[in-house]
Amino acid sequence: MFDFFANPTRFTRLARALLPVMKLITILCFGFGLYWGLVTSPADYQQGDTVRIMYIHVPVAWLASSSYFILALCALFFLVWRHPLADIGARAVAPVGAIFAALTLITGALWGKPTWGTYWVWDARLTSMLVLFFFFIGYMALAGGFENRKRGARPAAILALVGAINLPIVKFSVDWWNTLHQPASLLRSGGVSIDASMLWPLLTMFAGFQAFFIVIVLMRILRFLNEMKQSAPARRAS
Amino acid sequence: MMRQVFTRDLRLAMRRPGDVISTVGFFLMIATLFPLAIGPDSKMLALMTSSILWIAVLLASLPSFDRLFVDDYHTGFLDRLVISNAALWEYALVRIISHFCIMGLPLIAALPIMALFFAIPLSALPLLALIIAVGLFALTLLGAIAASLTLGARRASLLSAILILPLAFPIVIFGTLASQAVLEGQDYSAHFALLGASCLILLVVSPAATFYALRYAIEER
Repeated sequence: MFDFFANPTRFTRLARALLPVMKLITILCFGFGLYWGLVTSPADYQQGDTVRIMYIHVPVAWLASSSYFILALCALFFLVWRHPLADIGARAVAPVGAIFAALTLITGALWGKPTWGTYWVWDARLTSMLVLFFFFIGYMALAGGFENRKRGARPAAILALVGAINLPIVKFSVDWWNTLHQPASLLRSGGVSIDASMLWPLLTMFAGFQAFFIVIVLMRILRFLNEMKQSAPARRAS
Repeated sequence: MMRQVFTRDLRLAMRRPGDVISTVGFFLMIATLFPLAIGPDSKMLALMTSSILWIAVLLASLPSFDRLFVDDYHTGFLDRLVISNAALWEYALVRIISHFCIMGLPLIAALPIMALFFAIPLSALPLLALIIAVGLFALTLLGAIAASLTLGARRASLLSAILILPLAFPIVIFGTLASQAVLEGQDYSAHFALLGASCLILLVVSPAATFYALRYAIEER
């Protein structure tokens, strides 16, 4: 299946077909989700209206973590099959992941001020999100750190995999070090612990951000492919 | 062959004692910064001793990692290893061990001076040295990954520092907690076991990653 999508021409065609659909889903989900979350959903009985930051914060945090997963997956594909498209995918995902991680920290700080009384605490979850942000920075620095862009591809992929092995250790060590953040309330044993009136807008925003993520990454990949086509020497079809 | 690499490294280090001396000097200077910046209050410093030690160890060893493979890369020794089909991961492991002996052990040897500076009881020193030695070896394993990945990159030393530091967070966390526990006379075994576990995981990951990165750096030269 990977082989099938690894063909840049086929990928481009597929991406071009997928883009408008994803854009539509993004607009619809953001429209409905924001109205639903910011206007009609109830305020929290303890946190009041500040709880509405959740509709941005939680999907963005989820995407930041899954971006690293995708990055590591692309790195693995690149190292095993040596296909340039996997490298392009990783390069397309990395800055998006970094920005989502930064957004998670910023929205979290804005949420922390009214509820915890401070923008930043050295808590386990905040710190591991910060480390994730550093990992993206390191990946981008290494991938772009060589005179020849292609030369950075394999070192960066190796780094992404080493990081993927190390991330659970970092997560564990930081948990070991300190914990204050409320535990996850969406995915945990014993079912969802969030009321349906808040859950549905949250899930809509999840879908919206997911589609938004796909739109950005696809557009970035298409742009990279286009640049490569323009810089490549003209070749005759044989 | 690999024994020759090891003895060659030792002999080179003997001939250039300045490298080791400046690393140890850097180590002491970083530690001196803390009392200067925080104030000479001994109670405050006693609370921070293990943090100061670990930050000094980490920062003092960072610049030395640049030297891990650069010389062999530029002299063409690595090319010859690749051409002769020698086991590159073995070479990487030997370099890591010799680097630890040359750059890491002198830092451990300088710990008694630290004990004087920060009033660490002598009875705690052997355990503290053991914990820092395990942490330093783990750091060297990370340093090998970063040094091999950044071979031939622009601003390689800054780049490798950026790569090492986030990966080193667990080592710093477990290391400071373990040495803090030793200094306070509490049970350090859980933190120390986790530090050892991180070191062992890196011992598996690092030679493999370094091997791939080195081979690629040579092929793409």
